[in-house]
Amino acid sequence: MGHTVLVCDDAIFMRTMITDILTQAGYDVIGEAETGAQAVEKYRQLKPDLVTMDIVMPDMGGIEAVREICKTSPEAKILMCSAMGQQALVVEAIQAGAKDFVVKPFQPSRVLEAVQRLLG
Amino acid sequence: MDLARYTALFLSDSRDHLQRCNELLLAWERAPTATAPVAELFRAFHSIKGSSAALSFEPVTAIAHAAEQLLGAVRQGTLTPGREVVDALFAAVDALATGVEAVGRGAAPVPNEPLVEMLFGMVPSDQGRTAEMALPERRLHPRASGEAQPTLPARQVRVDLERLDALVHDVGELVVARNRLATIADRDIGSELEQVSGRIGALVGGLQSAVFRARMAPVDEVFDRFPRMVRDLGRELGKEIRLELQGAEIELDRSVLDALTEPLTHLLRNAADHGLETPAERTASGKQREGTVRLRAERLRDEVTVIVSDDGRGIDRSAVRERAVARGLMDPAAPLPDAGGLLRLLAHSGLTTRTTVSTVSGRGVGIDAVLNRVRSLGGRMELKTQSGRGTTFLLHLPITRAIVRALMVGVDNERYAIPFGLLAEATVHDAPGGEVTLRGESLPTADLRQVVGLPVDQDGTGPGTDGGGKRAKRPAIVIETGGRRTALIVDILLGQQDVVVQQLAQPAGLPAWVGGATILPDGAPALILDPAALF
Repeated sequence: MGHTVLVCDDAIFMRTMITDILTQAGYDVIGEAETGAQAVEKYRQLKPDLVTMDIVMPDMGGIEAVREICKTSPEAKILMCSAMGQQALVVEAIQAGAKDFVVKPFQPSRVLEAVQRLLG
Repeated sequence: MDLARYTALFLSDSRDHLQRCNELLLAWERAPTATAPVAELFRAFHSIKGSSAALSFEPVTAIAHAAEQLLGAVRQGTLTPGREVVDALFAAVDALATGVEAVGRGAAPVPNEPLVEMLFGMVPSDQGRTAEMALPERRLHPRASGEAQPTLPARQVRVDLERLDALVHDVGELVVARNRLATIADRDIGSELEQVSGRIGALVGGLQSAVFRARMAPVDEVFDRFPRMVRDLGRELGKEIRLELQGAEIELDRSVLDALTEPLTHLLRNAADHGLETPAERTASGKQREGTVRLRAERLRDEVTVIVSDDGRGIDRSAVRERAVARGLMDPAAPLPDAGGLLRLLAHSGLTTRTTVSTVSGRGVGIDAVLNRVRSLGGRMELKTQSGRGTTFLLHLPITRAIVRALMVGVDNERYAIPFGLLAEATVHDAPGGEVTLRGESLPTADLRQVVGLPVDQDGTGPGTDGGGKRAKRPAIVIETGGRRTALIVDILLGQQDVVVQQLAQPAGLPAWVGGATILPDGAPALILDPAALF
């Protein structure tokens, strides 16, 4: 019984890893999305406390998905997951509404730190 | 972090991505003017980069990153895609596959600096190596973009193959127990026991079908590696080859499918190397420059037929006969062999009409291996060939190996099972010591009593049969394999039985004619014969 999370990444490997990190720390992963479009739709349906969002996804990328979600839900707490060196895009993501970012490959401690900070 | 689980995920994920990359690159290569599938390729390399980095497989990450950079440049328009780029990406795919397979074997992937340098060398220098130009994905409008929408797969779960095999084994045991229960319950028709036994029988039957269906996989799982293989072969041999795949969605038991990989590989290499002519030869004989090899699967009731055909030069029967005569396999006066005879000759190990050994398909000793493999799967092979037009190999296979419909036969008190698939007919043999004749034709004959080491009297009977000086009639089974008929004499025909095949580990000294074993409904064990191995 904890905060709810929506995990968005097109790679099942990443989704599994993030879900494991969060679940073991007591968070409740209530949904997964493989594309930006699915992310927007599932956010609407599930209204999770937190979203982890990958940048590179098919059918609407992560940054545009952030933009879409924040249009109707500006209070959304979105954690961006970027690969090493995508700094320029991370800035764009924050401008689109993401609240923080973590860099792949993940350090579980860093991920949890960012999540805790976001959820207060 | 559960390393084993993540590694397994990494392996299956990466293999899927690499297969997809091969498909995309092959399509791109065939249609260079169409919109390149750059975004999807980019995402595939990107995913492999991410998951390999998470598990610290640096050599794999380095290659994936370099390939990603190359695609980034193409996407941005700073690099014009061409044959060089596609070849470089194929090289990247192969190098990644090598790394992934190393991980799969439990070894560490080995760095490939030259390849990484080569890939980066193609990226325009003003881009810089560290800046990752991952472009934001725009929403795809189906009509505006040349790329297809990603198709969502049917809901599936991944199941460990070992677990599935264990399940099949357990169900096999359940079937055996069910049969025994039925035998006992049938002694008391109308009783409550019989009713429940009947119910259990139906349930077990349903379970069995469901489990076997779970083991089925589309032949595409084996077919999908061949387009790339044939493309590489064409390059190597200097021939233009097109591979057509048909019926890839047809399903076969997974173990049969796995066993087909080698034979199909061999037949395809043969078709490319021996079957198809060079572009020059083809044009000279009025054919299209590009040769076609067709790989097709068809289903007819309990059998699946896999067909490998080419539109090349066909098999030279005279040349084969010449070689066969030279090796003493054939009488010089005999006519040209028919298709069945040709197949048998080609399958004779060591027979080849090639005077040079090619690196692609060796000495041509593979047809016998293909035939043995097909037979060991309970199937049969057929050959069709026409001089100047092409050659076709047909592999007829049972859909599942685990349960076989068999004819039970007996000698003395022993029972043996003969798979129905090989039976042509049954007849009566009343010329002890001689061969079985069928409608005037004399067939090579074996006596099951002799085969299993039971005594056979001079008049062809044994102590257990109706012998004693009189010419006794004994049943004979006519067996047909690859167009050839043979006969097996037994003491008695016992009837039909669906037997669950237990594969036997093959200890040394086990005769070749033992094809497996099974437990009969009354609990007694019986051996399954492979009659083709008797002759």
